[in-house]
Amino acid sequence: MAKKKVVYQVVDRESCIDTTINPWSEAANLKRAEEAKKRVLKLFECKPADLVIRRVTVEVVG
Amino acid sequence: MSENRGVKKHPLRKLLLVDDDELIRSLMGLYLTGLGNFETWEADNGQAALNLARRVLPDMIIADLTMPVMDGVTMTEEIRKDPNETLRKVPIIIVTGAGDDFKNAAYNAGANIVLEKPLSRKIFVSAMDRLLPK
Repeated sequence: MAKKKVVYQVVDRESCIDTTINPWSEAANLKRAEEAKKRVLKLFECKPADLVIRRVTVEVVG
Repeated sequence: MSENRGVKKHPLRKLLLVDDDELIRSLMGLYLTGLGNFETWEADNGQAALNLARRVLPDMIIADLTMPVMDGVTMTEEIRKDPNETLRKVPIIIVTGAGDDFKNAAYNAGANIVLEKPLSRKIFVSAMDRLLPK
């Protein structure tokens, strides 16, 4: 039976990196999502506003 | 993927990513595998990278400069004097937030290109296109 789970994703809103790869789509807690956002800003030229942390509910099977 | 974001079409290439920050390695790996036909290998310091490079013979190394155990400058020096000619000639891109002295040291050690963090994607992809074996 599917269970619902809240996860946080870093979304590349302005194609700062590349929306097609969306490397932050995996389930993450808020702290990990914030860390991922910090690292992206450290590694690639983009504005903090280009990346947003989105709270989503996903269904986990099993 | 939009046409200007990927590197030019090429056969499978092995990239060795060297950084002591696991999340940076992971993000870089995901970014690069989204750009082209790449297989990525990871190491968390220069010594581990050197050992892995001898085994894997990567087509390119992308490394941080400041790392524990062995830094990027020493790793580059070691690679440039390796007995294996293929490895000696592997293109090395150093990606760093360190100052000019460190960048010059990386060039003197034999790095092909030294890029500053945060990276401009355009410059990064252009550097890769220029350096990857055709």
